[in-house]
Amino acid sequence: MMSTATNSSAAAAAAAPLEISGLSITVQVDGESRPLLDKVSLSVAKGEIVGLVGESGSGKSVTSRSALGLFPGHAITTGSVVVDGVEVIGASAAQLLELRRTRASMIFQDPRSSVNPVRRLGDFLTEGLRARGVGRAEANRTAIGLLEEVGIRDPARAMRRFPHEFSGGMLQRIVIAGALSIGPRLVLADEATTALDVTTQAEVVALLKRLQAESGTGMLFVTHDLELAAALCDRIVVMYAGRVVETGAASAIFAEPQHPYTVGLLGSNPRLTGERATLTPIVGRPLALAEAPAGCAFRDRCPIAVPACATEVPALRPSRATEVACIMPGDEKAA
Amino acid sequence: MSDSQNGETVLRATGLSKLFKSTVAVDDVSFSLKRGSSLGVVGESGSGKSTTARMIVGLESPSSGSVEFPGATGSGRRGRARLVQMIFQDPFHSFDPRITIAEALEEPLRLHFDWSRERRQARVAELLDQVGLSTRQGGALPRTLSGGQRQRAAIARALGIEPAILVLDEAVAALDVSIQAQVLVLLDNIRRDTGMSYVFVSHDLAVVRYITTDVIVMRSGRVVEAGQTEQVLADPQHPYTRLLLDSVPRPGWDLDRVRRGRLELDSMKETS
Repeated sequence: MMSTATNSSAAAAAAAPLEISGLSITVQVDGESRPLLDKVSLSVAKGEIVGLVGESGSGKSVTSRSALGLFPGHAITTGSVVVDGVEVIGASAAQLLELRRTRASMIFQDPRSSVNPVRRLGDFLTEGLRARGVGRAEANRTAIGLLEEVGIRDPARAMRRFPHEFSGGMLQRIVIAGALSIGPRLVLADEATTALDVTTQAEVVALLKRLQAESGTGMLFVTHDLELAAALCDRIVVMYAGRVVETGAASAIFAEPQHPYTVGLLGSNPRLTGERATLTPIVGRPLALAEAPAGCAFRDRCPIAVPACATEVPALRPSRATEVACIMPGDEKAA
Repeated sequence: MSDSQNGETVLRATGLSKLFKSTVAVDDVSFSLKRGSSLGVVGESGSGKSTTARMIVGLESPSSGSVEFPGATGSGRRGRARLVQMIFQDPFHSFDPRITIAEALEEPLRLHFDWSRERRQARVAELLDQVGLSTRQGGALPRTLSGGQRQRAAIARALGIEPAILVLDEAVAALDVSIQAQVLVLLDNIRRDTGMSYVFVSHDLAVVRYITTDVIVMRSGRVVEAGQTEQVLADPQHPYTRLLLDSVPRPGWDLDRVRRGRLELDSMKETS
């Protein structure tokens, strides 16, 4: 199955940047097996920004990390994760190294954890290029060009400075420059703007969007913020308790959510404009897959749950403009 | 909103300033808080909003200026604690890890009131119920509760001695979206039911719009705009307030506008 997926996509469109299908991950904790993900499927096309949205325990970070072959320790993994035509599951260390060096790169929430604090920024920015055999002078030129592009003043001087000399927002720009220096087919951004001030976030998002559009790379943008995802992304995938519960065009998810969880998330966000509406919070707390009830994982918190919700895990199926894993999608709006 | 119009003043800050060595963290900040109203303190990192909050509760002393509580009877640290309680972003660090939530809730009651054990425990049960925690959760250690449950427990403990003012410093920022909504609704109901006043420090304008009646916008230690929350957010007068509003992501987000707003603000700095 793995090989057919690789071959067919290679033939079809020179391989999508990311194609995850039926990914399930179970880890062993204290001798017990604890499931983290259950049959997660999603894809990112060339030039596309896909938002992966969820709360704590939804499995959004585990899913995005799988694209770099970063699986939790002692994990049993089934399904398929294909990055730019390369199957990640079961890949050798050398293949993963090649993947991370040339095809996919990740931007994390805290830029300070991505940069070696005792090395100069020039080292950080040219490392990936040098590892690919690019000469020192050319790597330096490329890095300076990148710094200029992400809006760092006096880039030649910045190359000789240390991470602590930059603010969080500036450093995140530099990390973005580093992530794009290898010309990746896929960029994974895991809460990449969450820790930034709101005005800085807007600037960094504008930068990400511009660079992504120019390079035509695919991007998986992982966030807890549905509004940010709706503002930035082409498509959105909503996860709950280790499963995809709704997916569709960002505009459709935002305007006409079908899953009661997506409806609840939007109802939980206070509005900045329009009527000062009362909040309609979802009861209970977000669950991880291991604690979720049988059947639909959301049913304990769901305002429209019926006994049938307990019988089986609902499959994703089309409903209006989105695909939704619910046996009575959109019913809440009608009620 | 109308409730901010009447009621006596419970807190008045006049010309508050704070210097850390040669850095001016807060620069000549003045505001007042009326009984039953909720004041938002909005700003980004380095704006001085947290330092302002800490000066209100007495965790920092002002370099100049004053914080007064008109109508307060008590004095000293205990008097102020009876009047003002504070809730922080991370409730985990505000609990003793070795005692149960119920014991943590009982402690301030023992400190401030001359009550019998039964009366204290009845009050603890009432408080747990008020914030939606079960008796079983009350008997648990802080580490066994989720972040949202711990923040509810922190609110319950602050409410126990019925302070006149609650200072909340990014109190809902670290919570999951669905939990944040629950806590916001809880806080809003408590204020309406008890007439308690809030000073709500936050970077999140939508949250501030929901939970406050009045707002001050801070930047680099100074108040750049102040007024009724609805008024300020609907018709911001200062370019920085406009930039903050434009920076909030939403569908149809105009990032060029954000860039122009930043340029306008930077040019102001040069001319002033």
